[in-house]
Amino acid sequence: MGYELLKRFRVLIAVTPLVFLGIFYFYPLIRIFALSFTPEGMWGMGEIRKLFTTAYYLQILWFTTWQAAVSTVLTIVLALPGAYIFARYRFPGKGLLQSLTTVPFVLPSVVVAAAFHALLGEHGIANDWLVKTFRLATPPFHLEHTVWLILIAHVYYNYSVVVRIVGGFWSRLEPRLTEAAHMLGASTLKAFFRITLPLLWPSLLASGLLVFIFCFSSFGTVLILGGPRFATIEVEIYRQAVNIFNLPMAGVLSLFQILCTFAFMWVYTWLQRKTTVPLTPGSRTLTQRRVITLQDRLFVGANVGLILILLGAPLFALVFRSFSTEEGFSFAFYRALFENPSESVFFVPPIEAIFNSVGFACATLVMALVLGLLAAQTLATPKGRLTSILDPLFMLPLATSPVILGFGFIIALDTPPLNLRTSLMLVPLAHTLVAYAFVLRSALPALRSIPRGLRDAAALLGASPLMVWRKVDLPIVTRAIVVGAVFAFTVSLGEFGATVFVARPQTPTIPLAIYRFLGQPGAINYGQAMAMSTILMVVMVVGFIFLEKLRIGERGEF
Amino acid sequence: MALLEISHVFKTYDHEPTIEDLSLSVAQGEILGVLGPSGSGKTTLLRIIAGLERADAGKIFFDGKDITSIPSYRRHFGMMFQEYALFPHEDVFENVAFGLRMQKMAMPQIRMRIEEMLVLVGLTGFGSRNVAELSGGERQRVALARSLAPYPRLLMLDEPFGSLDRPLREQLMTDVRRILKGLQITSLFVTHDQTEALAVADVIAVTQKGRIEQVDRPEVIHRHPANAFVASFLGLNNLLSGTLLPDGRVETPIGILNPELTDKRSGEAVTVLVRPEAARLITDECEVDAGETVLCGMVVDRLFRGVLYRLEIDTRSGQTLVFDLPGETPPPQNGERIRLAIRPSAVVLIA
Repeated sequence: MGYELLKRFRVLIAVTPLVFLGIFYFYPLIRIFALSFTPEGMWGMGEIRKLFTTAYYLQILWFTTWQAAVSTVLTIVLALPGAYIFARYRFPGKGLLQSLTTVPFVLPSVVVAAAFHALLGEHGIANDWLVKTFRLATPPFHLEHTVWLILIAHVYYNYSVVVRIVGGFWSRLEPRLTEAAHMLGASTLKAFFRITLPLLWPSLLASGLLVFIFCFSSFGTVLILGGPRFATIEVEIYRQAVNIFNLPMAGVLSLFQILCTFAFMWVYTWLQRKTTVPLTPGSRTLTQRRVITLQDRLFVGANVGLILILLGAPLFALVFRSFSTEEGFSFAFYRALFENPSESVFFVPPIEAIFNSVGFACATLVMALVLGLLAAQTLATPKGRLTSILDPLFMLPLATSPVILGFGFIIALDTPPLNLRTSLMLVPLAHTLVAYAFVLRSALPALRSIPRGLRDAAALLGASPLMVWRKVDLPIVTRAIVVGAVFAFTVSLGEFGATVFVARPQTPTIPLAIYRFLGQPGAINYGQAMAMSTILMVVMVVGFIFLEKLRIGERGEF
Repeated sequence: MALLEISHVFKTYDHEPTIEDLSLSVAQGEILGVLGPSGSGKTTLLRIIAGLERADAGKIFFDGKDITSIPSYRRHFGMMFQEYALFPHEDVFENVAFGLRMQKMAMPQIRMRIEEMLVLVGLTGFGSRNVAELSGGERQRVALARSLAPYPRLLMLDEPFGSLDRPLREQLMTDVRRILKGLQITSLFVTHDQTEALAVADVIAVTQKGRIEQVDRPEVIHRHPANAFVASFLGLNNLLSGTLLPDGRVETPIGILNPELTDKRSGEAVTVLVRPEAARLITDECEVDAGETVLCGMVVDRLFRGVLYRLEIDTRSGQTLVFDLPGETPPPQNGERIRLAIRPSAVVLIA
């Protein structure tokens, strides 16, 4: 009887996350597909044909592709020297700098957009400073609502992706190979192009493709920094669905976007398997040297400087702008967050947005933990083929753009029995879909590390399955659970793409508030956007530092 | 006139001197073996000559010209790296062709030269092989062919046999020496293994802590180590301190010894090396020839090695000496007394 109970228990563990995915992931996706194939309630390819024949849509597809390609190339070119110094040098503060480079990657897109507004916008500190210093009549940079600001923000976001992947790969390349090329008569440049570059190629392809995927599905950055003139596919999904209310077209665009993303990911995994060059890894002491010569000092110094400026300047500008009011430095913008003047864009004091966000994040945390742990438990029991199917299945929501998840929610969950349109739960449900995969990925390695014998021993000693889990598994995975919880919480706080669809106007979240403030004229709105972004940034960075600290001595699957 | 001249080179790493005031020269067509324990700065020396590293002070001359500040890729030197550093993304042909392509040689000539090189190292037909499929010995041969192909003016080899197992290593030692001598190429190789240095080099430079202890032909180094360090590095550990007497003999704790020859002055404190192979088992005093010294002691260890017995003997003065005795006559057992006659040719005066 005990065995039967155990079996039923296991089935329940696996079924719960699957049911959740079925209702909140697959069902909305199916509705999106149905919508794109049945625009007027019956079968028709009209909308799909329109996507590929109308100049307007072709223009969007083309822009999405080329801005992603250019962003990728720029990121790689700028990040290569950084990857090199991380791979080849040892210098004080290297670990800290390496962590710092990852900060942009964890920042919500609205914060990054606000930061670049603060730095390079029409009234950004770069323009202000140049006007003041050189007594210019007009600001020199006109980057607002140009493609340049989008490209720069994309580089900012993805710099660490390239530095981490390429730098890690580079550090395993033997410096002797380059030296051998020198001895055979190759100059520094020739040795780089003939030896280093071909050997780095797999890592360049991998990181390049990742960056391309990220930029291809860029939403918040383009929506805020690009202005009305620019739209990626995802931005267009939002405009079609929310502004024009052309749901079938939004569906077709979503379908296309999903197909593209999955195709790129397939190429990515295929490339990873295909392009591994057998390397004899050199030891750290051999491949990394200290900074000694003047040339080394200049090179490393210049790069560290570039990294600090590139990564630090926007964040500095953001904080600076949040405090600089017409009357000098003050907390005026922060104070304004608590007020609700009549000209405000909200019906409630903006501080409400912070309470909303924290509430949603707490709900997300609980749901993501439960689902993530159940999913991890399912994958941890060795079941062979089932695991190899379930693992990627559980990761699907993370691989799907939040914009599409949000769009799916509003078209699928608005009719009984699943009428959640007015429910406050819609936001945390959407966030859970994105966040639970992080819990899964943190908990799974810890669960798998538990020796089977330990559980059997506990069971033989008379512990029920639930008891075994509490007494054996739980203590071991506590740390992983904390990591997963922090991930879930911060992901929820910063989530923008899905939230912009599902949040109700009277219950905005922090990113939504920032987005609305940035869209409004006036110094007070702008200042409040800066203040809120600063708060969100600080929360994110604190969460990130906490995770980095926990990560020491433990390796998750990231 | 030496082809390569290293003059007063200094190099410091992390405040640790790696090379200190090192001078050395290599003649045209000569194979110089730099022999020393790991950490003696020999690889650094090689890298400085190659131009991969810059000396803190000192100059390098090649063919009479100062090349100290010429970058590695313009020196036209060849280098065979430890673990070979073959390019993993290129096949054998492209690896060997690399230097020739850098010289912008035409394709037909490249093909001919590579064919020639592969024949030379015994890898005919290996051109299209992937580097990853090669065995250790084959990699070593490809690395040799690659460094020789562009007609280097000087060839350097860093621990060329280090990662190979013993039988293969001996085969390759013979091959490498034959190839280098056949091409008449000036070479410099670094090793910590005296067998390799003795077998391959024309001249050996023994290094310790960034300094040169002795430079000479292998035979001389082995017969007359310049000092206690060189002797013990070569495995010659029977070192005795003594005083030189007016008649040229040396008074030591084990008795008065007759060294072969000396240029030292009487009364000086000296170190004497007693070669392990030059002792003879004796049973009574009549067998002792003129000039031989009789050594009495107790066997503490006896190891049969086939052609010889290696004996560790505790002398009356309390010092332990090691001797190799011929295998035909079994020497006394452990704990038994022994008497040995030491020939003058077995006694070498060192610093």
